[in-house]
Amino acid sequence: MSVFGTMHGTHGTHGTHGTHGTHGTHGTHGTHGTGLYGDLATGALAGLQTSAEAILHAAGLDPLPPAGIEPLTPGAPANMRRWSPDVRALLLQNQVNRHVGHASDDAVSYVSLTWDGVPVATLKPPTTETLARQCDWVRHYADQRADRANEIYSQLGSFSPYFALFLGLTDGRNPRTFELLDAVLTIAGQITMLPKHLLACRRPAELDVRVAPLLATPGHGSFPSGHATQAMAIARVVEALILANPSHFGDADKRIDMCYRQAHRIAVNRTVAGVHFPMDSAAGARLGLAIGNILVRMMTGGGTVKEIAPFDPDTAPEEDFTYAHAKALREAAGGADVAVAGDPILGWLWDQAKAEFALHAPV
Amino acid sequence: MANPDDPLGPYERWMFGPGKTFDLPGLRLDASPSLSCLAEFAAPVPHPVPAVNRLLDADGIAMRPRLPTLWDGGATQFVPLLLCPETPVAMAQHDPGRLASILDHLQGGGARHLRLNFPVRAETIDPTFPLAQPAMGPASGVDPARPLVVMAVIDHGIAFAHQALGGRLDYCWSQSAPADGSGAVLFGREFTREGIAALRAVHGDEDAIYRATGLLGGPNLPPMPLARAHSHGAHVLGTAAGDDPNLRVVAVDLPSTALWDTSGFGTDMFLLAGLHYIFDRADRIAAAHGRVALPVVVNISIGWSGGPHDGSSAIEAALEELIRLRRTRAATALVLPSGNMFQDRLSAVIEDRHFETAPDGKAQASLRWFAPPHDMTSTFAEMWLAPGKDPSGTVFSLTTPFGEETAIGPQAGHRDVVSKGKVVGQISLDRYRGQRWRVTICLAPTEPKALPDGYGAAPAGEWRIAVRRNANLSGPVALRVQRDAPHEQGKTGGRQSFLLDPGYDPFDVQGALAQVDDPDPMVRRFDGLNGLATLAVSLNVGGHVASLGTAARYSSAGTATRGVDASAPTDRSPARSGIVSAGTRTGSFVALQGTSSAAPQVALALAQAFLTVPPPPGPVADNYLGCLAGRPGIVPVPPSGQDPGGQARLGQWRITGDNPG
Repeated sequence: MSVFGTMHGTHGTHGTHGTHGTHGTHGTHGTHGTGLYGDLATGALAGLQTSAEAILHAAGLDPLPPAGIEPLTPGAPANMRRWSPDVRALLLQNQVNRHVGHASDDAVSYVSLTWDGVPVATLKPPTTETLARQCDWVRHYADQRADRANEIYSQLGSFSPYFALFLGLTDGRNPRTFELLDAVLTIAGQITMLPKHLLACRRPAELDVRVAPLLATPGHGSFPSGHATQAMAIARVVEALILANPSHFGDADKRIDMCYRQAHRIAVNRTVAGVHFPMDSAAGARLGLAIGNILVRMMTGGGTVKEIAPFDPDTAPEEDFTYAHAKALREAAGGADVAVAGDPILGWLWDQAKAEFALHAPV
Repeated sequence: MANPDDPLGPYERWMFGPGKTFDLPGLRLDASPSLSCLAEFAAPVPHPVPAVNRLLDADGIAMRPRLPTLWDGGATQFVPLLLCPETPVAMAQHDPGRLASILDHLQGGGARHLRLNFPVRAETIDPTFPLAQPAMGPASGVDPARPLVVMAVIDHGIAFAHQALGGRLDYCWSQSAPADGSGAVLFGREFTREGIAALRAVHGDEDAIYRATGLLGGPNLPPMPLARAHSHGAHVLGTAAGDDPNLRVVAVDLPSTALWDTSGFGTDMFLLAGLHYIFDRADRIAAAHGRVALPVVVNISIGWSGGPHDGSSAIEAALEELIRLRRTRAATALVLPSGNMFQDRLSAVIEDRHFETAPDGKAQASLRWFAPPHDMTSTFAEMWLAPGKDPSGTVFSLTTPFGEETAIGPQAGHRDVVSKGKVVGQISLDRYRGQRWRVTICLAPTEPKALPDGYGAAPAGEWRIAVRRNANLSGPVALRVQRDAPHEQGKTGGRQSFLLDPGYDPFDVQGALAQVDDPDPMVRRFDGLNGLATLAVSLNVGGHVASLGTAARYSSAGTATRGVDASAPTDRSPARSGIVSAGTRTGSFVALQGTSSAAPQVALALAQAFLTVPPPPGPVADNYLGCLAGRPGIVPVPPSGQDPGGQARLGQWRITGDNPG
């Protein structure tokens, strides 16, 4: 998850509220946003006004006739095309927030992610014995910091490039696909905050001075891991996108495998960095798969997803989170069916992204 | 006062004394480690060795000697062995006194020289060893009409599941893997060609294989080289293995913890046991393909700066003995790196002309030795008298930066080095293997992580090493400082000490690191050859810059009697250091700089020559150097004195690097 003050954090230079972020000085909604108003130097904005004042006299003073006005179709999903990407992101988030919820009890002996009130994934809190054994793993993984530092630092913000790497995406051809991946990142990240708050799990650096993390410990709970949730959700959505375009990739199975391995690696990078326990990633992977499954259903006309078996880290306190574990989660049969209604707003973005993979699109 | 034939050598006295606090904790030994030992007997002993097959008792600690795989090609004087505790014994319980008495028993059994090396974690010992292993059949892809040759690599961080090996790695002994109870090897674990294929079928990918076999380490365990993206052994093996199905590969993966101490103290037993294993497995490969004795090229990209530098160190003598034995059956080559210490100021020769007359009429010569601050590991240096010379009439002294002097000689023995009331080192005089007289200096870390009672940090700064002798005595005294490189993965915190000689100018007139020696100074660039590479049976390989064809500035050289035989690129250009070879995972690459990466290139070229025209068995005066003549991509080197383009640095034959084949 984002870190205050760094390049890509929420309030960092490129973050949502940062200087170049969506609401920042140079962002779309900022004073000097992109596009027409963003490309001009400060003095030139005033120039637009003075030029208008100088020449609008030629357009007259008559009241505007309604006859020439062509209205949009209210509520049409196609209108999504007209909004800016960050507004679309807010709309997508809103559509998810209408259904997503959390369930717990007073003692927080469990936290469930729910969809329309029905549990889809459940986490149980760790004991201090489990925390201690998991902390040993964090120290062990520190040996790989030199190898993985570049990945760790660049994964502080959007890590879509790490999946785009295996999909051959380009900015020019796949703008909506990139937008979709980042939307999944944002949606999944937000959903983890309440479980993190309820489970209130302390971070490795607080428990063991020898962890000495590679970067600043984020300001939210350790269990579940936001990165693991986001990465697995993206991997699941990417898998669906690949499978929806069978003629596009001749080696679809390998690509899907690479994307899940990458998601697992992104999760483990947080343990290498010293800010997460392996069990945080095990928990986040389950949430991420659940969220990914739900988003895919929403985007493709609705259906059901399977409830994911509850995760209790105390059953195996000394266990690492390996790719074999992640793969087993992917392939697990799953439990009860949970209904997910299709959503035309999310469906619009999915259709746009999917269309970018068409090889023989009409001119 | 110890006798000159004290069974416990000065290194062991230090390492198992204060070194238990300074240096051994980094090994992360478990509750009851075994000791490793290289034993030398007065005459070749048959196998199994009755003399050591007895339970040794010493003050209630029972250590059982156990032998690893020994090649059955003949009796040898040198034997590698482990001393395994019968009941749990922590490392803390072993001290020099107890160890000396254990080794006394071995001496009673006929051992005349013993060398203890680094301890081994109990979890790596296989109590079921030895058990007969099912024979492995012939490998697919081998051309029965062509010669078959074995390429053997002894290194650390061997990525045995690397897919570029293509099923040509027939045997790999991972000496630091947890034992698997199969009885194939005494310690560690063996991975065969078929075993690796089975692991791949079960676990799917290399990461999972290494994880399942304990080679990635884990919480509270020593860090392992294969956990990282690049390792020394993966790079060397990637270069040496080539791609010919008739070149079968055997690998020995040394415990990397044994290599954290760059003085080379830790490795002797592991190297010799590795060579026995290689020869044994080469015989099995031969049998599997209906052949008798195969030509073998062994590459060991390892070295150190200390030692007598005349082939008489125990490990050199042990390797030479075994290699000569095997040469009676089949061509057996040993390829070693010349070393990277050319500029490091680790070696000096005090000649007669360097001695001045002191007021009392004695002759005295001295040299300053800089011990850096923040050095967290012990520091070692040696002085060697010439063959045939003894220390009568001679006193050796070591003076701290504060002026406190400790002297030893002419009698053999050990003395504590004291500074400000604390013991900070040890100086010893002994007759190494009953042959050459040696002074060994051990210094405590200048910034120790922990201190044993009575010990202090060795003061950082300029120490003085001096020799005082009667004026009528003559003969050079060689001074060798041991390498003390930090091991990053092990977080040892070592820093290199070096010699200071006002007459030695590190730079040439252009301001670059000079590559020739002036005749006057004691400190030398030349004569600093890898201390493992002065035996008579090796091919020593130096490194050059591929784009220039001249020696890499660090590439060590020897003397006229024992020096560099061949060379290969170790840097691509002055701006692009290192040469590229495999990382630990298939598809990853890394550049590694140093003569360690030159040796396997020569080893491969030699193996390819053997595959074309296999040399017959029998002794070879040139150690197969002539086999490189006329091979593609190999050019002769002019003699040229100390010139960096000449034979003294590059040997007689140079792999140019132009021919990728």
